[in-house]
Amino acid sequence: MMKAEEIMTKQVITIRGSATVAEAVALMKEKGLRALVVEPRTETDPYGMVSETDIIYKVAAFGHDPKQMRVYEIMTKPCIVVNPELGVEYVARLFAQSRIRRAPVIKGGLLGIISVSDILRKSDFVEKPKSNFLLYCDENPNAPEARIYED
Amino acid sequence: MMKAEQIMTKEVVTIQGSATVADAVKLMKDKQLRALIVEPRSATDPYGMVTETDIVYKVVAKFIEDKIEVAREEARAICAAKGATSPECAAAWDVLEELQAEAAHQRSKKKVKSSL
Repeated sequence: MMKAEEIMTKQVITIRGSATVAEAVALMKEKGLRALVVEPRTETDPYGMVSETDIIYKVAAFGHDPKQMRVYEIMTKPCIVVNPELGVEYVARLFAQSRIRRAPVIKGGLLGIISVSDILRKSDFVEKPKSNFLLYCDENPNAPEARIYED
Repeated sequence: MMKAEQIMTKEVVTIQGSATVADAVKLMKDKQLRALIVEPRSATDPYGMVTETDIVYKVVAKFIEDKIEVAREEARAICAAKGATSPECAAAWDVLEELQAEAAHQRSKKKVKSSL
């Protein structure tokens, strides 16, 4: 199974929670990104994320002035984070269950960001679809059911 | 106020509902799109849409249906080996029923939620 770190986008841009929404929009446009990561302020502070959806649903939809609103007012924090070793099919399942489309990849620090676009474009799910049974065999190679299928 | 037509993306790619998901993925990758429009089949048929979120949520993460299939095979094998009235056989069918209930629950949840 491919891992999150193999298909994640490594170019991640961070922003402070105190930045204005207008600054976030400018950064997203300039870098061609759909989301920015809000870095923790201290060691115990969680990661956050602000996405284009946050900006459209919470600012544009109400005609609020992006220059008067701050990222912390609309961001998702704490956000769901993914471990770099997590298998792509498990990332997909996590996303489906929690109704999200992207998450930062964290281990020790921020390594990248993984989104449904990365999964669609870079993973091998079309060429190598993995049923639950195949995943089970991967994880339990010594199970009798798994051994039957050995080449 | 600006209008939708002033900012919309005019390059739209359509796909048939009968195409495979693999075809849709290829088209999305080729055209660099995150959604395809499913054209109406007749004058009264509604428009449809398939997004990359649909594919990732419903295809890449498709575990539960496979789980049910494995559980059903297992239950059959256990019942054949231990007897149809054995406690092992009853337990195996219980596992299958639980999975089916979970799948039905997920389906009913999906109905109210939009894929976008």
